[in-house]
This record gives sequence, C-alpha cells and structure tokens, in this order.
Amino acid sequence: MRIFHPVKDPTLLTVYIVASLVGSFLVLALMHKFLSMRAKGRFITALTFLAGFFYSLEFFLPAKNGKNFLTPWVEPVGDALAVIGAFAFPLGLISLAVVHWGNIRRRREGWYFSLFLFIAMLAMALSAFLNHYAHLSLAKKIYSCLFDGLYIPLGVAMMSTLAFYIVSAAYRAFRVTNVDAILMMGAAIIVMLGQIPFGMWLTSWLPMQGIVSSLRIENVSNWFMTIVNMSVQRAIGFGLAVGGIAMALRVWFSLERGMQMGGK
Amino acid sequence: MEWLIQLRQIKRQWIYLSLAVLVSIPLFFKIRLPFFVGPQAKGLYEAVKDLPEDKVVLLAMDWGAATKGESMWQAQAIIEHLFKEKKPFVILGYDIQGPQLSEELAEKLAKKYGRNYGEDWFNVGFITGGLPLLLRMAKNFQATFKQDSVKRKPLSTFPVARRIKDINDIGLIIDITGSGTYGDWITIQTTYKVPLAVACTAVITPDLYPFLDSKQLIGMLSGLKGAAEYEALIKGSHRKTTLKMMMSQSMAHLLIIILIVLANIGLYIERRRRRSG
Repeated sequence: MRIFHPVKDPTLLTVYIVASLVGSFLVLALMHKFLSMRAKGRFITALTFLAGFFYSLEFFLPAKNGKNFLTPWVEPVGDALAVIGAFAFPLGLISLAVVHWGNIRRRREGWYFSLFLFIAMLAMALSAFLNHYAHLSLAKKIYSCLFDGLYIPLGVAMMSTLAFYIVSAAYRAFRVTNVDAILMMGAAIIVMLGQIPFGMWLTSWLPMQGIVSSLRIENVSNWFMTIVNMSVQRAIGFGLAVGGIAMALRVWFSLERGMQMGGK
Repeated sequence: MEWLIQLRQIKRQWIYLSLAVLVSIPLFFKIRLPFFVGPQAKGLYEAVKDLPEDKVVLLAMDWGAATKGESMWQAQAIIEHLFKEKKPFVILGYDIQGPQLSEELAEKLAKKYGRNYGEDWFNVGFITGGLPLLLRMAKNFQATFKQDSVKRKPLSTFPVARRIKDINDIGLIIDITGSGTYGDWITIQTTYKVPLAVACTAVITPDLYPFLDSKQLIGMLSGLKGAAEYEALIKGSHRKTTLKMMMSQSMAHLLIIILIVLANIGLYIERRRRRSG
C-alpha cells in the first residue's frame, strides 16, 4: 500500500518537494505563532500517542491470514518513520556545529579542537560526496586515506587501549576480602580459563566422554554460563523487560517529565 | 615477606609492558595447545549447512572498526562458510561501517571461491529506522530497499535479490554485533519464527544465554573464540591465524589471573601482619 504514488517527472517532483517544504514551514510557523505552549504540548502528546497506538493496535487486533485492516499501513508508516528518523542526522549536525562554532568564536579553552572537528568533518564529507557522485580519482584516494587509513585504524586503536586498561583495573580492583568475593573470583577464573586454549590444555588429560568429562574446564565453564549465568540473566532480563514496558507506557502517554512543552 | 606485600603495588607501566610482550609472543613463536569447539558454534554451523535450497541468509553486520578485533574474524568465517556451501546471502547493518567493511571481506573471499556479486550475494548497506524498518522489511523486502549500496542499482537487477519478497524467503538471520542490536532481531525471530543466530563480542555473550536456552537463538559465536571455533569447523582459510590470536588472548587472560592472585597474596600477607602486629 502507498500513501503517495511515485512521481517520475523531475520538474513535478521538484515542485512537490518545494511545496512540501514551504507548506510544512508555513504550518509550523502558524502553529508557533497562534498556539499557546499548552496547546503545543497537547499536540505533541496526541501525535506521540497516535504513533505508538498504531503499532500496538496493528499487533493486538485479531488478524485473518496474518492481516487486519491496519497491516497494509505498516509499509507507508515505516517509510514515514524512516524519513523522520533521518531528520535526526541534520539535527545532530546543526547542534554540534552550533556548540563548536561557539567555542571557536569565543576562543574558549581547547577551541582549536573544535576547529579540527570542522576541518575533519568537511574533509571527510567533501571527499565522500565527490567520490560517490563525481567519481573523481583524487577524491577516491583522499576518501580511502581518510576512511581506511585514518578513521578505521583510529577506531581500532581506541578499543585496543581498553585491553591495557582492563588488565590494570583488574589488578587494582579485584580484592578477595570475603566469601562472596572468593566464590565470584573462583567462578571468574574458571570461566576465563575455559575460554582459552591454555585452560583447555590444563584438563585435556581428562576423557572427552563419560561422567568425568564434565570436569574438563571447558565443560565446567560452559556449565557456569548455561546454567548459573543464564538463570541470573533471565531474572535480570525479566526485571528489565517489566521496567521497559513501564517506561514505554510512560513515554507513550507522555507522562515523563520534560516531554511536554514547559517541562511539566 | 616485604616483597610479597610489594606485589600489590606493581607499577602500571610494568603491567602494560608485560601485556604487550606476552600478547606478542604467540605471534612470533608457534605455541600448540588443544582447542575444542563448543556447542553454540556447532549450532550455527549446522544451521548454515541445513539451510533449504530456496532460502537466503540475512547477515546483519552491526559492527564497526572498534570491535573489528572480534567481529571481523566472525564475519569472515561466516561469509567463507556461506560461499563454500553456496548459500546466497544479503548484507545490511545498523552500523555505518559494518556493511562496508563486510563488503571488502566478501569481495576478497568471492575471488577465492569464484562467487559473483548479485548472483551469490548483495549488499543493502547501512539501514536506519530501527524495528519499524525491520517489520516493514519482513512484509515487503523489495519495497523497503530500493537499491543496493555497492552498484547503486535497483534490487530487481540482482538474481539473488529477486528471490526475496518477504521474511518467508529468509531462511536464517545472523546478527554480527558489538552492541545490543540483537534485541530487534529477537523481536523479528519471535514474530516470524525465522531461525536466528548471533555472533557477538565476548563482553555481551552472557546476556544471550537465556535466548539460547529458550531456543530463540539456534547458535552463537562468542568473540574471537567463536570465530576460531567456526574457522575450525569449516576448515577455513584463517583458522591458523585465529588460533594464533587465541594464543595471544590466552596470554592476556593468564596475565590477568596471575596479577589478581599476586595482588591478593600481597593483601593477605599485609592483613596478617596487621592482625599480628
């Protein structure tokens, strides 16, 4: 199902796009001018409720052959939500630009980092656009250098430093001072050894089959993960899910503080 | 006895140096230790092998450069298995980098196995829209994704893409993730009963065991160990490399255990001294 039919004529498409933008701007401007803060808040609450209501209703209403009267609308609503979601990108970009431009203009401490941010953003965006749309070989080289040569390795390097941090933090933090800590440390060591070939080597002399095989470190580790850990994670998961439903209902009905205009 | 108490105060520079040296040793010297494959990796392996001929695999590449150390090896092993078994697949992902990095892996492996883009796999690229988009995709795949991300052509151009009308044409979903994106795929699995497996970083593996127990997940690869297990199962091109890296990881784990033990020995001696003194 479609709300609108695709327009192939480029002139007509341009007219539709411009008209939609102008129309949207006018509607928003009129709403901003003539509606009170309270009315705007109610409008947002109503929209939020309708958006959530659609998916809930489509799921809960009885279905014939897997469809009810709302099912054909899943596609166009999904399209609309994807487009609205895409607005988050320029919104984030504008917010970032405003903050960092303020840093540069006011020469706040570390303002040069904000300048580097703009240079990096522009260099990456320009090379990517030119590479994608103009297919310039120089743009491809610059894009490849920035993305494959700089961005990816920097991301990997950032995560790699985590290994050193974890080892140092584990050394400083893990103190066995009571029975609970002994049990936790024992379980952690068994699970860690069960993951690595050295641990598997320690108990490799035990048979692979039979009751004694359950004492092999990888089997003990697997027991910890599939029985002990699984049951605890399930309990935590239930709690999170119940909390998540409560939170989702609060967001759906706009009961959360700050969701309405004026922060009420 | 004083030196035992000093074990609690090893400078972090020595710890970092020890880690760097120990992790490097297996990369230069061959260390042979036994390695056994777990049931979770076997589950995924069997699922790929038993995939019906008329179904396509959906690879959700929800990883990036930060988790490349684990996710890339998992993705590589899975793609190689799919090429070996001649199972068609589609790549997409919630992460901007995942589909692009996976495409490079697929192209490299495709040369080795004589596979062709569009006939054996295609790439939809980065997707945004969360669960509503996946629900839409489940109902109408062709209408959700207008074109692929590599050649920028309509999906109808590619034979393997033409096979996918909706979720019923997907025989297996494999989410390779470094974060919590598996939640949306669990919802899709529960709604449409499509087999789902997750290849995740080791740190989020404990969260997934309840789903394995309830059979919502048919298989799981846990971090680099999972990648090494899968490479061993498929007798992949990188099984020696992943095993070598597992040896490095062994060294790091051993160092953590040894340091914790040393620190607690020092603590115990100090406390005894305080009580007696």
